[in-house]
Amino acid sequence: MKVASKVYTFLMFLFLYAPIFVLIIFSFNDSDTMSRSVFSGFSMRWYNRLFEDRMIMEALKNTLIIAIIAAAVATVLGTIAAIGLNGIRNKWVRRMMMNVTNLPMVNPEIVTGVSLMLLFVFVAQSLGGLSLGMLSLILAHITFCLPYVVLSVLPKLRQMDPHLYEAAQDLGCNPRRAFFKVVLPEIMPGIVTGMIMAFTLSIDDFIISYFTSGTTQTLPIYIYSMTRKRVSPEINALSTLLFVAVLLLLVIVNLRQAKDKRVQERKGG
Amino acid sequence: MVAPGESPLSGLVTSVTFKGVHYEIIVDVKGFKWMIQSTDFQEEGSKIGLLLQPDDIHIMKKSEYSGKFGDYSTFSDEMDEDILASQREEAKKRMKSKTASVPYGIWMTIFIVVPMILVVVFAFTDKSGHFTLDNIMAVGQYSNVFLRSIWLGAIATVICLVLGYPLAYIISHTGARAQSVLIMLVMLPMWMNFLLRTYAWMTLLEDNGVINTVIASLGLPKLHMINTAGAVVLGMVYNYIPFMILPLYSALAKMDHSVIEAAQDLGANQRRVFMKVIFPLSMPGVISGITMVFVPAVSTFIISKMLGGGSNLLIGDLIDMQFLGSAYNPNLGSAISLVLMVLILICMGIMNQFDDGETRGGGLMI
Repeated sequence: MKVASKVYTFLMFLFLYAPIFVLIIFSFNDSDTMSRSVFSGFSMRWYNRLFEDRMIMEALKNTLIIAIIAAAVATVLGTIAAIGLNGIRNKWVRRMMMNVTNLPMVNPEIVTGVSLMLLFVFVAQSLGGLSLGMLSLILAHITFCLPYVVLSVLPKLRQMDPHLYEAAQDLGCNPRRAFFKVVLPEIMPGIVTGMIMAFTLSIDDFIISYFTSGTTQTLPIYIYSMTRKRVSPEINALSTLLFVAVLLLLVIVNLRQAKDKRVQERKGG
Repeated sequence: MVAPGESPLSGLVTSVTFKGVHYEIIVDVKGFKWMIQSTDFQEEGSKIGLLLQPDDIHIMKKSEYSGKFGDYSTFSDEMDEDILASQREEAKKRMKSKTASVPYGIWMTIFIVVPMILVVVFAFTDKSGHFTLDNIMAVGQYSNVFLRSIWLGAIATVICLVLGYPLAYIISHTGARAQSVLIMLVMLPMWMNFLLRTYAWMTLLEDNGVINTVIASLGLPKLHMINTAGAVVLGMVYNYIPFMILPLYSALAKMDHSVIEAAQDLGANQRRVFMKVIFPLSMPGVISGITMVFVPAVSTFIISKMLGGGSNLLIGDLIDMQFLGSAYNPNLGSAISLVLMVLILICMGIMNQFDDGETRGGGLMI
């Protein structure tokens, strides 16, 4: 039984990673014909081509700008929102707010993207002259990142002992100091998780960006156009780089988590 | 009550009220107000000493009305004010947070609620803005596309469940450190770009792709895999199976092993333990996984475009064509989107029947 488990696990992971490995291998393919399936030798030429490609760099720049702004705004707004939502006593108002928060997550992305496109086009028509672009992209990204931030911070707020805030003020802090010194550190893990999720979602988003970008290109949109046209192994090189970056990130995060856990255990939990 | 010098405690009488049987005497003791019920009269403004005997201490159940309108010394204005003032201060100290949700409410209204309303409006109007049901009627033409999407999405979901459950189960039973590594490995492809992952399968499945090259070199006839419904399902399964594995793992890992042991102690064999204990207990994870796979699978359009060619159109492709494609008709597109939304809501509603009220408290399942 144990053997079967191990074999099954191996097969599943093979399934998960086979395409990625193929991409990586062929990113080093030394082929003039840009063949995607015949491996003719090792070469870094596609990586060179990648870095020389103006449009990819432009798209990458746009993607990063959007992701940073959207993550920052969504984190701040979402944290404030979570604090606000936590304080609502009225059951109906709270339920409605939670439904609105969950709506972008439950709806298919294509519906969210299309509806936002209608909004922007409609508004552009009324206000005359504004067209889809960076602004609409940023607004759209903030919108779909917000629920994730809210849903990351809210549980932490609920877990927190509400009397800590009062206790801090009893000990002489003014409300603002009490917030920054007591509440904020308690919910910080939720905020950080929300921020990371927002950033990642924004970088990787394709569907919503596709509908709200107009002529601006983000990296996923550019990749899409690349896959529609003559497929160049530059994409393989790009994929490999992305994969390595993500792998490093996850390894670092996991190591930190393991270290924190060990520190916790030594402290006695 | 005694003369001022006879006890360590002393205070100033601030008010005296006759309550019919006894006097209610409010005494100010160093800023604290004490209420004394006694048959002895004291002059207002006089200084007295207070001596507490052991049987002066009574433990009483606090009535639910006491404190609501002030303390039950209704005659002490000073006391009421003090209490009200301290209550106000307490309220100030509690986080006055309701208003913090207002900017968020405004944002979500503008960017989530209004666009939804716009979709509905567009679905029911034509190009010149008149109300019409034509668009909804037109959606009926595409019923075969809808059916295909639901069918393929359902197949993909079932495959994800069947393949993902064992893996989640296996991972949840390995050691703690191995678990976190394995889960990280499951999540890693998720973080790779969705398009690149689908594109990778194109490379593998094409008629001249990697798989066929390998097959051909073995002397076997080539398989036509790309641009088929099977390729689309494969793409769906590949892209969404981590979304099935993670909630399943989450639910399985949290399960209380003593319940399983109890079932085994009571004589159930492996299969029965699974069917009657493990699977039902993992239901929240199953529901979560099904939802997270089915909804994107039904509404995808990239997977069908890249792996299905032009012959396996799904709902997403249709919508895409109406908004950014050659057949520019936002009204029809909105109508299709509306029908899609309703469809998803119905499916979720059916799904919720199986969820026996597990409230998640507003947090993320993962």
